[in-house]
Amino acid sequence: MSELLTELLVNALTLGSLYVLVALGYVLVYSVLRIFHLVHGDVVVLGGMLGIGVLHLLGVGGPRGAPAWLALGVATLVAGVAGAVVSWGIEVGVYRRIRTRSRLTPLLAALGLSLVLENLLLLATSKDPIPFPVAAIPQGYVEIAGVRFLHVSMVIVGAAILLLGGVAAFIRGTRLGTAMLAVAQDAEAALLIGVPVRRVTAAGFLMAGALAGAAGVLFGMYIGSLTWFIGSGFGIRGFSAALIGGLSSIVGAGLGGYVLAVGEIFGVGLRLGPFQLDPSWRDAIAFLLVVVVLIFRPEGLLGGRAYTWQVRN
Amino acid sequence: MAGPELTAATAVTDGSGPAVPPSPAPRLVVVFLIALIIVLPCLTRGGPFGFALVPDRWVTVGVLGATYAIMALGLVVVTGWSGQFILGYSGFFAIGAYTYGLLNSLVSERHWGAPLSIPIAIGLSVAVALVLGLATARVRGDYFALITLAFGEMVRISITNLRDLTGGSAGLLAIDPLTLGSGGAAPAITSAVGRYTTGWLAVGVLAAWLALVRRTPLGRAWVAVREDEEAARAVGIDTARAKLVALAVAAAVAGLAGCLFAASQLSLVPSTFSMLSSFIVVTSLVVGGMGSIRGAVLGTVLLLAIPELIRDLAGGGAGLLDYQMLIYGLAMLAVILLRPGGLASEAPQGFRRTAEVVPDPEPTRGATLRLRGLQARYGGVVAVAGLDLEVPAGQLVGVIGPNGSGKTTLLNVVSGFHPPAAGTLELDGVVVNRWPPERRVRAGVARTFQMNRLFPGISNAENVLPACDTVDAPPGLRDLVGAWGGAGRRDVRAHARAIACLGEFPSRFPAWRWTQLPTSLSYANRRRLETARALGARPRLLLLDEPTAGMNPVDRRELLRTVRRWADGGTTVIVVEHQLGALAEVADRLIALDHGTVIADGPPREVLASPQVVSALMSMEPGLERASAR
Repeated sequence: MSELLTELLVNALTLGSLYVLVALGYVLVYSVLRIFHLVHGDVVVLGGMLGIGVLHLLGVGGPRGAPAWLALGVATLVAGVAGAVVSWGIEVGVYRRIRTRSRLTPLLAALGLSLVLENLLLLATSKDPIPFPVAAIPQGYVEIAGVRFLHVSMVIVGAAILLLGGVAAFIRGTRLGTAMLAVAQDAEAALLIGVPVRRVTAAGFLMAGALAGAAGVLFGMYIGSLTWFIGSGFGIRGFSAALIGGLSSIVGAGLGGYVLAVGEIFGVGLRLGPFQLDPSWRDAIAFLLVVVVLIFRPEGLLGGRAYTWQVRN
Repeated sequence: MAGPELTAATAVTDGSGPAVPPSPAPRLVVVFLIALIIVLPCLTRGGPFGFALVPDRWVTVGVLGATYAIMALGLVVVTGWSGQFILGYSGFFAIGAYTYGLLNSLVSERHWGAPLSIPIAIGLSVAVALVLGLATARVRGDYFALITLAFGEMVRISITNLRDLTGGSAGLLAIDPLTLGSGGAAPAITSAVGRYTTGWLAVGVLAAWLALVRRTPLGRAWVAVREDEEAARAVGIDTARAKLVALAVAAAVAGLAGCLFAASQLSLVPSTFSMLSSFIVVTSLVVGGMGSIRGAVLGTVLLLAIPELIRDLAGGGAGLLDYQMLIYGLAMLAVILLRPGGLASEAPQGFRRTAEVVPDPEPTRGATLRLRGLQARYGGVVAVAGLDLEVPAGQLVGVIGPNGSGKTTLLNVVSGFHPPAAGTLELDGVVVNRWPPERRVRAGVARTFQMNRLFPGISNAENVLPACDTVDAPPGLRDLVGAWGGAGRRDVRAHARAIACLGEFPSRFPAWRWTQLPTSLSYANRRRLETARALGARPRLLLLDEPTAGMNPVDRRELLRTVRRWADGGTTVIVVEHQLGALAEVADRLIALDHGTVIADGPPREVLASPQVVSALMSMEPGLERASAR
C-alpha cells in the first residue's frame, strides 16, 4: 500500500510540475494585463509540436543523429522561443488593441484565438496524435527504497524546478522583474512613476510563452504524443492550478499545480475500501477542486487582495 | 474662502455633439431574418412550389439553427444583459436534452410526452442553475466564467460516465420526436419542415418575450448590474437576486433548447455538449452583438450558414468541415477587433412615454437620522470614531472637514456600503445597522458617489430609470410576464419621474441627450446625472458626496440652490462639500469633522467661525482644497 502511495506521489509530482509551468504563465499574464489568457494551452501544444519537429530534424535515434540530451535541449529552446514569440504577437496584435474595453472582451478574444490556433495546428499537422520520438524519451529508472523513480519523471521535475527558479530569480533579481511587480500591483501607478509598462507587459508575455513552449516539449515527453486539440485541456489545467493557488501569487501557482495533480491522481488511484473511482472521472475531480476552492476562497489558496509574490515568512 | 468669482459669461462646456446614430438599419436586419427563415423551407423539394432551389439539407441545418438561436437568446439575458459571463452554458443545454431523452425514449421505456417532459426538463435546469448561482454568489466576473466552464464540463463528464443511466459515450438512442401527448401512440411532429417550423416559432415567441422583459424594471436592473454592481445597489437593486433570476431564465431557455434538440436529433451523445458548443453560442453573440436579441439570432444564422454556404459553393466534401471552427475563430476575432459592438447591436434606449407627467402622489416626508457612538474602520485605521449625531427631517446639513476626516466614510456607513464597527444607526427610529444598501434605498436613503459611478454603457435615460423603478415598481419575478404583471402603469410613472428628475437641471438634459451615453457628457453634467439618479429613488434622506466637483462657481451655486429647494420640499439632505462659502449660503447646519470626530456642529456662520474648525481646515495647504474637488 505504501509503495502504491509513493508511486502515486511521484506521478503527481511529475504531473504537477507540468501544471505549474502552465499555471505560472497564467499568473504572469494576469499580473501584467489582468486577463485570462485562455489560448495559453494551445501555445503549449504549438511548442511541443515544434519541439517534436526539431527532434526529427536532428535525427534523434537515427544512426547519425544528435545525442538525445542535446537534441532535447535544442528542441526545448526552439519551442520556448517560438512560444515566447507567438505569445508576444498575441499581446501586440490582439490584447493591446482591446485594452480599454470591458473585461469580457479579452476573454472572448482569447476564445477566438484558441479556436484559430487549434485549427491551424490541425491543418498544419494531422488529426491523429503526433508521437513523441521514443529515442528522445529518457528510459529507465532509479530504485530508491523500493520506489521507482523514472528517469523521465526526474527530467521533467528537474526542468520545471530549473525554469521556475529562473523566473523567480528574474523577478526578484532584475530591474525588469521589480517593474513587473510594480505593474502587478497597479499598472496605472507604475506608469505614472515611469515604469515602461508596455515593455513590462511584453516581458510578461515573452516569459509566459517561453515557459509554455518548454512545457509543451515536456508534456509531449510525459504523454508520449500530442494532439491538436489537447491544448484546451492543458490550458484548463493550467488556469485551474493558477486559480486554486491564487492568480496573484507565483508560489500559489506552484502550490495549485501540485494540489491539482495530487487531487487528480489520488482521486482515481486510491481505493477506499471497496470504493474506487473510474479513471474517467479524473477531469471531473479537477474541475470539482477548482469550483470548491473558488467558492470557499475566491482569491485562491494563497492569493490575497494584494500581490504577494514573495514568500511570506 | 471661495475662489475668484467668475461672471455669468463663463461658457457652459458640454463636450457633446449630436446623438450617436444607432446601428445601421436595425429594422432591415429583423425583416431580412424573418423573411429568410420563412422562405427557406418553401424553396426546398417539400415546399409549396415543389422544386428544389435549396437542398433539403438546409432545413436540417435550420432545425439545428433554431436550437442554437434559442440558446443564444438565453445567453443574451445572462451574459448580454446581466453581465455574467457563462462559458459552460451547454451544461444546461445537456441537462434539458438528456432529461427529455430519458423521459421519451424506447431505450428508457418511457414516453411521457413533450407537454409533460419539457416543463420537467426546464424545471430541472432551473433548479441546477439556482444551486450553482447560490453557491457561487461570492464569486465575481471572470472567475465566475471559469467556474461555469468547469460546471459545463462536469455535466458532460458525468453524462459520459453514468453509463447505466445515459448510455455513456455510446449515446442515448431512439428518442421520441416532439410528441403532443404522453404515451407511445401520441401524435408527433416528425417531418423536417415541421421541426423547422416548431423551432423557429419558439425562437420568435422567445425573442418577443425577452424584448418585453428587457423593457421592464427587471430588464433595466439586469443592465444596471452589468454596468456597475455597486452603483446598482446604490439605486436599490438587489443585485444578487437580479443575477440569480437572469441565470435561472437563461437555464430555462437552454433547457428548452435541449428538449427541442433531443426531439429533433432523436439521439444524443455527450460529446455534443463539449465546451465547443458553448463557445459557438458565445461566438454568435459576439458576432451579432452582445446584448442584442436580433444580433443573437443574426449571429447564429450567419455562423451556421457560412460554413454550409462554403460547402455548397466548394461542391461538398467533408474536409471542409475542418475549416468551420477556424472560420468561427477568425470571425470572432475580426468582429472583436473591427466592430466592437457586433453586427447588430442595440441602440441606447431613451424614454418611451414622454407625454404624460405624473405628479408624485404626496410630498416627500423627510427621514430623521440618528447616529449613536458610530464607529467605522478600515483595517486598523479608525475613519469614524464614535459619532453622535441627530439630523431632523427636512434639514440640509453640510459636512465639512479636511481630507481623511471621515466625511465619505460617514456617507458610506449611512448608505450601507461600509459596515459600522460599533454604535447604532437609526432611520426614523428604526435601527438599520444590518440593512444592505438596496434595502436602505427602498426605505428612502439615496446617495451619490465621490467618484462618478454612472452606468457608462447605457443611455442617460436608462441611468436614471432603475432608481425610479425602485420606488413603486422594484424589479421582480412579475416582470417576467411583462406588461401583464402591471408593468405598464408603473412604467409610465417611473418614466415620468425620470424625466422630471432630469428636468431638475433645466437645459442640461434636453430630449436629444436621453439616448446618449453618459460618456459623452461633460464632467459636471455627469455629476448632475448622478444626482438626478439619486433623486429618482425619491429619497427621504439624500446623501451627496461632493456633488459640485468639477463645476465652476456659478454652476456650483446653481446646483446647491437646487439642493436647497429639495430640502425645502421636505427631503433631508446631507452634503459633503469643500467650497465652504457656497455651502454656507444654503445649509441649515454645518458639521465639521476632523479625525473622525465632530469638532463643530451648528449654524454655518458659527461653525465657520469656530477656531477649531479654522485651524483644522487651515492645516490644509492652500490649493489642496481645489485639487481634492477633482
